[in-house]
Amino acid sequence: MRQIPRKRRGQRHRFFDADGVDELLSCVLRLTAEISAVKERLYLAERVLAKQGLDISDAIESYEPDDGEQAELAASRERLIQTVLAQLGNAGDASPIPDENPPGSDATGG
Amino acid sequence: MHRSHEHGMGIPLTQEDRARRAFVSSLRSHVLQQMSAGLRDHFEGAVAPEHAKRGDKLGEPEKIHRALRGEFPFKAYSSVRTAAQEMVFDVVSDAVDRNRQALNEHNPAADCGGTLTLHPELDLPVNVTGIDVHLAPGSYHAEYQDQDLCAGAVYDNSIEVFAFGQFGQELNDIGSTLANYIRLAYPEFKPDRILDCGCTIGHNTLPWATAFPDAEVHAIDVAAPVLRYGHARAQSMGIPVHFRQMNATELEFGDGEFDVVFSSMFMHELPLKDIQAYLREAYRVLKPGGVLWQMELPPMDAMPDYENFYMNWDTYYNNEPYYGTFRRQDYRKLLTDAGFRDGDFIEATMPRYTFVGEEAFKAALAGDNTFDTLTGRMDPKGTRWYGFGAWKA
Repeated sequence: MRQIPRKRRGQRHRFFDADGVDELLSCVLRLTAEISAVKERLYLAERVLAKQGLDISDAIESYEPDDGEQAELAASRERLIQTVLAQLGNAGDASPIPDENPPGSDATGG
Repeated sequence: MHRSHEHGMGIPLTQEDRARRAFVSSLRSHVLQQMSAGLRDHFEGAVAPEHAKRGDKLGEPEKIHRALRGEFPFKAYSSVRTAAQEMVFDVVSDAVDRNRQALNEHNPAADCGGTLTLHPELDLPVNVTGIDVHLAPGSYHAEYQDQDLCAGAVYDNSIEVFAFGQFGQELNDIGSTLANYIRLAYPEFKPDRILDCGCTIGHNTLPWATAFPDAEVHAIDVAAPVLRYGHARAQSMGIPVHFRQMNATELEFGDGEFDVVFSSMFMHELPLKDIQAYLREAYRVLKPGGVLWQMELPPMDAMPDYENFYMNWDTYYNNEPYYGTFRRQDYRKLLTDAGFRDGDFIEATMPRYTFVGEEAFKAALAGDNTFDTLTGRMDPKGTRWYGFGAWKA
């Protein structure tokens, strides 16, 4: 059983002239998605706790994660990094995109 | 836990899954509304006047494309839109992978009469296998284990994120709009057998069974995983549809077997020679008095110049290489070349049935066809879908 691939075949289109700008933009958007997800989770966490009468901001400031929790956070950071940098790994597996004469097309039309 | 869809093939989503999906939907909406409006403003306010000063009228989409390609708003729009398209598949694939086993071992719901007939020896066409259509990794035919249906699950989940609500609650607005158009525009017409070509997961097939409850509804596609998924999905909703793995260019049906042959956003993914073969086959399997209808991208000659350029972005950059050629065709001639009579050609633009409701929809059908910036676009301000077809004499 294989995983669903996360990268499509073919080279990404480049829109900006300078090398890496499109990829950088992709990274930033992926990063923003992750930040958005975290913000949403925190927002919900605060609402859930407030409904139970708990003000957690002071407790968060003084909290010391144990070894297991540290490891969980490290794994989560690694996942975030992989997600944000996903597009940078794309350079090595490029094959040409059939722009001009797509497979099976006939020559008429534009 | 929340589920991706209400039907039986919906998968459980964590709060994080939902947050990421919501972000990508918002991003797509932002690109297609705000950034797209900025791009148009830049074209109309700066690029077109600059060219006009030099006596250069920018009409043809390729000319507008060339004029804009070096401009920052185009680069930003295109780069962000490409990244957003990639993210659509990214944010759904984890949840589908996590639920692989459950999806593939789903318990068939109570039999409602639908069937699934696969044809493992079918040669898959190169327009499906040769490229990752819509930038979807693995395209729509890939199987990652025996009897796999995950590509169907990716499709169902990805169009949900992709459409940011614009395909309707059950992602079936295009099918609902056409089925109800035929029901309301031709009240005397009572189809017994209906065929959907290039159905993928059958999301636009199912409304036909609802609009015409006495009809037998058939749906074909070349890709087995989307058919497996579509069958399971339809069964879970209690809607009987007969799914078969078949190529629309070589229909394995007899002459004159159907009252309706239709497709939804299918033809523009085909090479021209396959479009022509499909239309000949559609003509053959239709009964005399039957109707062919395609929900499609509007033809280039009906749309304003800038809209043509804007719409054709996908053919340049979204792995839909045949789409530009298709839109250049004379749709009426495509049908007459396939056997239909010139006078039997029909076309219409329609508001979205599941958004406007039956009364407003009926009222709109009485008016003239409108071709404008909302035709064929996904826009919360009020998309109008375009369709064309012909009666068979």
